[in-house]
Amino acid sequence: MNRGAATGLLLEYGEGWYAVEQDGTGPFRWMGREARCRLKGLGSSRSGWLRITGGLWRACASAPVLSVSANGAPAGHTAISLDVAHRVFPIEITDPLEITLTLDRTFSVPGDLRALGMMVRAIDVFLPEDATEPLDAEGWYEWERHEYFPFRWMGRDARLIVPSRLRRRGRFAGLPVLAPGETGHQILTVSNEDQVIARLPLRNGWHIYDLDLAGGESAAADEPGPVVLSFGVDHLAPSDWRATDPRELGIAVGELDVHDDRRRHDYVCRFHRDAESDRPVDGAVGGAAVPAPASEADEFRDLPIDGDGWYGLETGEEGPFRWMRLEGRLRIAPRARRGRFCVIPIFTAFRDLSQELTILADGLVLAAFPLMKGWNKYTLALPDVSGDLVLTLRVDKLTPAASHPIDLRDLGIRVGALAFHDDDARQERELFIQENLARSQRELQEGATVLTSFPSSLGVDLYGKCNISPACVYCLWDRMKDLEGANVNAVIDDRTLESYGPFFSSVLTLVNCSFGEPLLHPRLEQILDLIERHGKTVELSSNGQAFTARTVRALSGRPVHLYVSLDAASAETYARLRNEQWDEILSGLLFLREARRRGGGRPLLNMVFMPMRANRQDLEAYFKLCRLVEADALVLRPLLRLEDPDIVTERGGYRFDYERELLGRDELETILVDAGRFAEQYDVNVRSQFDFGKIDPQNVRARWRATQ
Amino acid sequence: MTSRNCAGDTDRGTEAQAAEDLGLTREYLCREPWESYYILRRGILPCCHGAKPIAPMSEWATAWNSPALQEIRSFLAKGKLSPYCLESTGCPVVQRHLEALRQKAWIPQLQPSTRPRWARVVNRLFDGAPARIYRRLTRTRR
Repeated sequence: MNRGAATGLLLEYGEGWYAVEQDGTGPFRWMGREARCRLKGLGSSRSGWLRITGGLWRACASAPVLSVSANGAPAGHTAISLDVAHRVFPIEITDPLEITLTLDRTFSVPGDLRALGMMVRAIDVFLPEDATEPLDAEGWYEWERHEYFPFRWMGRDARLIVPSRLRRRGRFAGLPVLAPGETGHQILTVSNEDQVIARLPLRNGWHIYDLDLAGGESAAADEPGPVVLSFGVDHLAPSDWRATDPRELGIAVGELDVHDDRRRHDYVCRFHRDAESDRPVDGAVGGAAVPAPASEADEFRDLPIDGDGWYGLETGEEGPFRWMRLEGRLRIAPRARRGRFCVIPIFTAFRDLSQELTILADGLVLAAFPLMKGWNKYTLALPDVSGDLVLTLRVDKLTPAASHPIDLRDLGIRVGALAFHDDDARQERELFIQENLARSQRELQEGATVLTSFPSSLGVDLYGKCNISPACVYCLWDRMKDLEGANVNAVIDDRTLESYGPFFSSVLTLVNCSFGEPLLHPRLEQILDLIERHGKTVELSSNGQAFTARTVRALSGRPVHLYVSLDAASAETYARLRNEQWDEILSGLLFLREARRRGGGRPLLNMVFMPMRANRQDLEAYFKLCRLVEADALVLRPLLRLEDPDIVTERGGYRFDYERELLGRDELETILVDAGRFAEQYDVNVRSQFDFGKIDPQNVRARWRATQ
Repeated sequence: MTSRNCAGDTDRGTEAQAAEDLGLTREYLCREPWESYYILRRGILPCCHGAKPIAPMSEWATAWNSPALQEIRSFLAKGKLSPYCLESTGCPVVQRHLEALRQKAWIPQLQPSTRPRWARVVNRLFDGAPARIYRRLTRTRR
């Protein structure tokens, strides 16, 4: 990538060059001791920089010195290292420009009769008045594009030349940086000439930092000229980081994004400052926090099985479990019984309450109940015994063999990790949920229309205000606010949820369906406290623009399924659908990633993407983004087919016409196949919600494999 | 070992029989009105795809067993979709159902209509007023 270099130039190779060769990275030429070339198409005479990109063959014993002259005038000299790297020399530019490269020695390779000097990949000229992108000077390796951010590694020191035209764009600059060292271990110092403009303690992994190119001083009134930024890190990457990579790696740095948005600068800086208070990270090793158990359920201990009624340990979507045959015994030692109550997660494949479980202790029946479809938690009071407690679990029938034709085992039920507690109130709550679920399922089977049971899933409307104004282009904001009428400003919080009585206490999951941004709720922490205390989970959909140190901290480790709806993977596409705040969202998501690591993977993060004409080119980048932020899943959701989608609006230089944005069946099928390919390539889980009778919602990875 | 004949049966029973045993064949089109409930500012909804509220928000305690929700459950228990459900065209269950019917060519006209281009242009010229009036009229007729 020749970022920043002048384009449209003609390079003529003269004496001293060997023929073009090719390696895994691209074309190059070997030069001998001296080589000449001529550059044409440079226009008028002025000052600029000449950049030589090249390196040595790895077997070369000692580094030769390269001297460069332009139009016969010496431009400078530098030692050539083993790695392919840039060398930049200030020169007076003329058209044409005669360049001479001279080495103080050559070397030879067995079997090759040539006298080899240096392999040259590129010769560029940088015109600081014309360029629109920064130019990599010394210290940078080749650009890489396999991550969300295009980036290149640097060693300890590197220089970047920022042209005047880019400087005029603003006084601040966003800078994505990947630091392999643990948080705070590596410090990046950025200087402008001799003035230090930033000294950044780097956080582990990718993060976005924001530089004040004026170094905190008031911006100069005169026209900004080109600047040379020097980057220096005090420590290289840990030695075990990419041990097979022979390069000297410090940090990876993405594209410098010059801007003039003071609010964005302050937002990012404040995030870094506030996040400092989260350190030190419990259990952090090598910078990446080791997930700490958020609750007893996460701290999996294998079942204390006794006898041969069990199969081996397996892991499913709900975590580790064992299949039981018709009967299995559990031997629980006194020190493992950390409470009078035991909660057992059990899965049954029967959906009609027809499989019954009996639990016995010492031949006496402790509990007997019909099993409810899928995974459910069953609670029981344990008898007071002094030694080992042996529980016998017995089901009255096996899962029909024909329902699992490939698995030839006798399968009864799945049993997950046991949890113990001493909390009478919790026991009462869990019994209520358990009994209500059974009653609900019974009433469902009977086709009852008047119910004595309560719902197991409750949709709530936590917050009715949004921080995106005007609303997202496809949002039915005005219509919905009309419908909300007098309730538009109603306060719904933890106290409201408790006031719902059995409608709250019966539920396993709360789903926030508000037309508003729930993370803005002033009592977010209290709401999450209540939900966690009651052993429930909550689904929150967020637009991603409300991540602050406060909200990220409030979410960390909570039983939340977070759906972040971005529908874009670039600032340009995002501006078409919402606004210009893309970079802040990225910063927030990277801090959320850290908070989720600290919180044992909670909240679960689902990244929502609704394919439409405005964003379909972003699909692959969205997968890269999901990998970057360590999302649990990418959710493909259809743009709803509205009966009267009279929405046409101009935004971000794009005309959004709702009806036109809806993709046809063939296009959606193609997107699902592409999604399967990207899911494999970037190892991202995909959940498709294209279950609309038109698009087959089966596993997208499987769909892609089927096409191969 | 399990063997399988060309009809897909195994010597351990048929998959159809297994589905029957597991209770899968007795499933309703939708379980939401028994298991879910939405108390939202715009009103009470029986599911997240509900087109319109069945009661105002303040009636959350009674709407759970209200005549409207009883009717929805009653239809589903008979293996049918209620008029309320059929109006909720954003629901995947309804979409699947309508698609199945469309394929049998019973009700091709039930697909959400796409207005002709000229009607959209006229609508935009008058800032969406024709569509609002049309919606209000059709709602009144229903």
